[in-house]
Amino acid sequence: MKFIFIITLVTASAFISVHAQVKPDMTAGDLTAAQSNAKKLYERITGTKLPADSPLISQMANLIQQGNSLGAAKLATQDPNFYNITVKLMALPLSTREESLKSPLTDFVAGFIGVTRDDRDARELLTGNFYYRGSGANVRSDIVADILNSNNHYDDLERTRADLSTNLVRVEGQVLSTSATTTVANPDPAGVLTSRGFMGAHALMGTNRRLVEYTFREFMCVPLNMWADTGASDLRIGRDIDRFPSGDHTKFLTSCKGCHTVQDGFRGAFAKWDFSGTGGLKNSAVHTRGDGGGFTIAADTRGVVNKMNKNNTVFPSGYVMIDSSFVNNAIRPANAALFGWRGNALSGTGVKDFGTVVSNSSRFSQCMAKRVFETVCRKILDETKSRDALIKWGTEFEASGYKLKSLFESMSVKPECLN
Amino acid sequence: MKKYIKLMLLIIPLGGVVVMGFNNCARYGELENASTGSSSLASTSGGPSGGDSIDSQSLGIPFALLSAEQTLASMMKVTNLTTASAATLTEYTARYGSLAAGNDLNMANGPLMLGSTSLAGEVCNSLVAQESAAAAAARNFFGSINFAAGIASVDNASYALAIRGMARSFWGRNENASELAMLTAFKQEMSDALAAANRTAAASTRSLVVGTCAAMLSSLDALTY
Ligand code: HEC
Repeated sequence: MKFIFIITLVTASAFISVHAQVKPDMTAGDLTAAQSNAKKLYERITGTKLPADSPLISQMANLIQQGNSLGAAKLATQDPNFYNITVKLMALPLSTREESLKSPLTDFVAGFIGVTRDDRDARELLTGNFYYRGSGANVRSDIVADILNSNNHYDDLERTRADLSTNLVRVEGQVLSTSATTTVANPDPAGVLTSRGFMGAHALMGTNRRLVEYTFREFMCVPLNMWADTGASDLRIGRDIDRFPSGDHTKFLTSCKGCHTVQDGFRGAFAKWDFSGTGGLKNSAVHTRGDGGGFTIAADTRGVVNKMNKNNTVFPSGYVMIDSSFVNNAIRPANAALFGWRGNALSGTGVKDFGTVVSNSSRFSQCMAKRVFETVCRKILDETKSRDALIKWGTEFEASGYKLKSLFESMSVKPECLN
Repeated sequence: MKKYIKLMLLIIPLGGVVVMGFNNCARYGELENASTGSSSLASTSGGPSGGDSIDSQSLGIPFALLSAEQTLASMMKVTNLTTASAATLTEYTARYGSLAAGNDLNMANGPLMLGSTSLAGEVCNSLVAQESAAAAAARNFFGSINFAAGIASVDNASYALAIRGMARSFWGRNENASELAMLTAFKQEMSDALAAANRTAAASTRSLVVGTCAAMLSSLDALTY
């Protein structure tokens, strides 16, 4: 036996509809170099294999030969798998702590797919007041029970293998649940940052520092240790951070401070947010004070959630959070060069302002270009070698109006991508 | 001296525990490993793991493995199936854990190959069900196969045509001579293993085609892009 077979002789009782059939040409030869390139381009954009006799291959090959590679890429992005596979798989690892491809579909991921499909400005991902939902016969869709207080809705879309490229619809206005039957408008909507998926991953327990850390990991492509700055101000570092860890102040100065100055500076943006109890995502502007169970939020009279000021005896003269203001401490030369801040980026109030600061930076655009490059080109971008290219791509992305679909199309035909 | 060393052995690991345990910080320690400046930014697509593992993606190898979801979507696409059968979805769920969690070729291990073959088996069941229900001329892949007769009726030429169709769709190229020889030998072995009466039973042809399809649909050429 040369092959190991697992022949399951199950009688297939499937309903199969027949669309987009490709009939193999048994007498044809192998693909030409141009056709192979077209096929490869298609497979990279859709994340799936394409039969050699698909009529798209010669269409795309012709366009490429006419010098219109972008036109060829645009044919490929029309395939539902561009959204259902490629965009989805790019978004999935950004949605959880584990950053795994094998993460569940959530409102975060749906938002990413929707913004790409609807050709919206990608900065909306961090600033917009919208969400995406789907529908279907076996898809539980109650706004409170299945979308706000659980992931049922998105789990069902996944389970029923809904075609997300057409199924998802954009809903203007994010809402939060205040009881099993009532919702209110989200007082501080900020795209996928205030999605159940992202908040559920990073506002759960902890001290809301992870929200800052992961916003930068996912949307700026920098782990915290890469933008830590021990030279920045420590005025915003919380009272829970030991200034004498193991009795050693130097350790604080050379280590703890580096991460916590930049992170704790931005952390105030999330002062009024928590993820707890059956209600899940909560904001003190709309939720009743309580112990955090049910639909209550554990916050002080100013609306600052208790966990922001917890362990306040570790270093009592540390920063006491009194509102949702934040300061940008990542502005000294190395970080300023890395992030390329623009507009009023020094401070702000709330998550939407935070998302605005982040998404207006040149680094955000470069990060999106880097992610798309790595997704469609199937190789890791060496930032040391490709720094200039990345800056250029970021600028091009901005010039396109921050359109992710165009970014996929243009990145996939870059010489750096193809060779 | 000996005592001193013993003490050191005790203190050093404890020291680590104390530092990690009392500052309450999950990330403490990460800064020490980082190089300064922004020039050596770690790649963001590989997750938190270090950069020293062999990674076909970072090496720029032009082939990548299909991850779990891609595998199913791709199998459906190249077989022209638009709706996954219940059996396919059940198999997919059961095998999901062994299918790749990324695109690194290194993830292609034994369980992955086995899982892919099982999944391919279900997809091929659907394909054969669809094709055998259609008139020979209307079939995409198996126009040369008589599903009403047994494996004994499948001559090498008609088997080769079926292989050609699958190779072009699943692999994107024509099969080569040695692949054809291997598959043809498989047909012979399968036929030899059957009792004479079964060789004329229609089910044996179906098994042959499903088996061939599953092998081809789960071979590395069908799982990489
Ligand atoms: C590499 C960056 C980094 C360094 C260095 C660092 N921290 Fe942190 N720290 C973080 C992050 C990120 C979090 C949030 C972790 C979470 O919620 O999962 C955090 C959280 C904390 C918390 C809150 C834990 C909780 O959930 O209640 C404390 C306390 C803390 N750090 C103390 C320290 C001390 C003391 C040091 C130095 C010994 C230090 N950190 C060094 C990144 C860092």
